[in-house]
Amino acid sequence: MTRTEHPLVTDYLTTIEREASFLPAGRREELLADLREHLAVAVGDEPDPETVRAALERLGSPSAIVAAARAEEPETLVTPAAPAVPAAPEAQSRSSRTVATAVLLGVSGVAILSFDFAGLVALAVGLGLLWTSAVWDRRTKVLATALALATPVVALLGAFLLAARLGPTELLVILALAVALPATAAVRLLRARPQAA
Amino acid sequence: MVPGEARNEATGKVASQLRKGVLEYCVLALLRDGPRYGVEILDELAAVSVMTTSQGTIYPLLSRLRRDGLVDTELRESATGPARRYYTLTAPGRTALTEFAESWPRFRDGVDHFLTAPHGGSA
Repeated sequence: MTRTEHPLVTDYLTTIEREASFLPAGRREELLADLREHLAVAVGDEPDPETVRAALERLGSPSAIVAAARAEEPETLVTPAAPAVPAAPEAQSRSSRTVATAVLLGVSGVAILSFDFAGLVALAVGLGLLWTSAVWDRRTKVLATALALATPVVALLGAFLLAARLGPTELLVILALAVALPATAAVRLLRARPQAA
Repeated sequence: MVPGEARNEATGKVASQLRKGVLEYCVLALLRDGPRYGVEILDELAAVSVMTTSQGTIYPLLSRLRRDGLVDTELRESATGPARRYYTLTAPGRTALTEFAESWPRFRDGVDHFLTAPHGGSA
C-alpha cells in the first residue's frame, strides 16, 4: 500500500467505486480494499503495463464485480421494494385508506347539503379512492357509488321539484336521505373490508 | 465474432447458474486444510475450468462468507511482498462444508437420475 498505484489500477478502482455507489459505504470500501490488496499481490513490485493489464483482465470487468457484489447483498438493501418486508405496513395503510374512503363518502351527503363545495370535493376524493382501491369488488364499488351519488341527485331534484313548496317536512326528508344513503354506503364498505382484505 | 459463440454463451449461462450454488462450498473446501490468501484461492478456482469466472467476483463472495461467520480473515506480513489477507475456515464454516459434502452426492445422483433415465422409464 505504500507504493503508488498504477494509473490503470486507479482507473479500474475508480470505476468500481462509482458503479458500486449503491453499496453501503463500509461494504464498498471493503471491496475496494480487497481488490487493491489483490492487485498489489498479483502485480508485484515492478508493475509494467502488460502485467497490470493482464491482472486486471483476470479480475474481470468492473461491472461483473459490481454485479457480484450486488448479488451478495440482502435483497432489502438493494431493492427497498422487496415484497416480503413491507407486507405489514401495506396492510395497515390499506385499512386506514379503507376507513378514509368510507368516511369521506359517508359525510359527503351532509357536507354537500351544508357547504356545497367541500361536500363535492369529499365525494370526488372518496370516489377516487374507492375506484382505485383493490379492497372491494366491482359490485360493492358500484353500489357505494350509486348510494353516494344519490345524495346530490336527491338534493338537486328536491330543490328543483319542490322549490315552490319546500316545507319543513320536505327538507327533513331530503336531509334524512342525504344522511342515510351515504351512511349506508360507508357501512357497506366497512363491512365488506374484512372479507376482501 | 467467433463461430460457436452463441453456444458458448448458452453454456456460459448454465455454468454460471450452477456455479452460483456451489462456488462458496468450493471456497470453503479449499480452506479445509489450512488458511489461504485471496490470490491463492482465486488461482485454485481458476485452475478448474467450470469454476472459472471473473476472479474479482470472488471477493464479494469472500466478504459475505466472512460476514456470515463461515470464514475468518487475518492480515499477515509477507517476506517477499505486500501483506496478504489470509482466509481461515471457522467452526460454523466447517459444519456448512460437512453438510454440503453430505448433500452433494445425493443431489448429484438425483440430477443424474433424470438426465440418464430412459424415456418413459419409471424408477
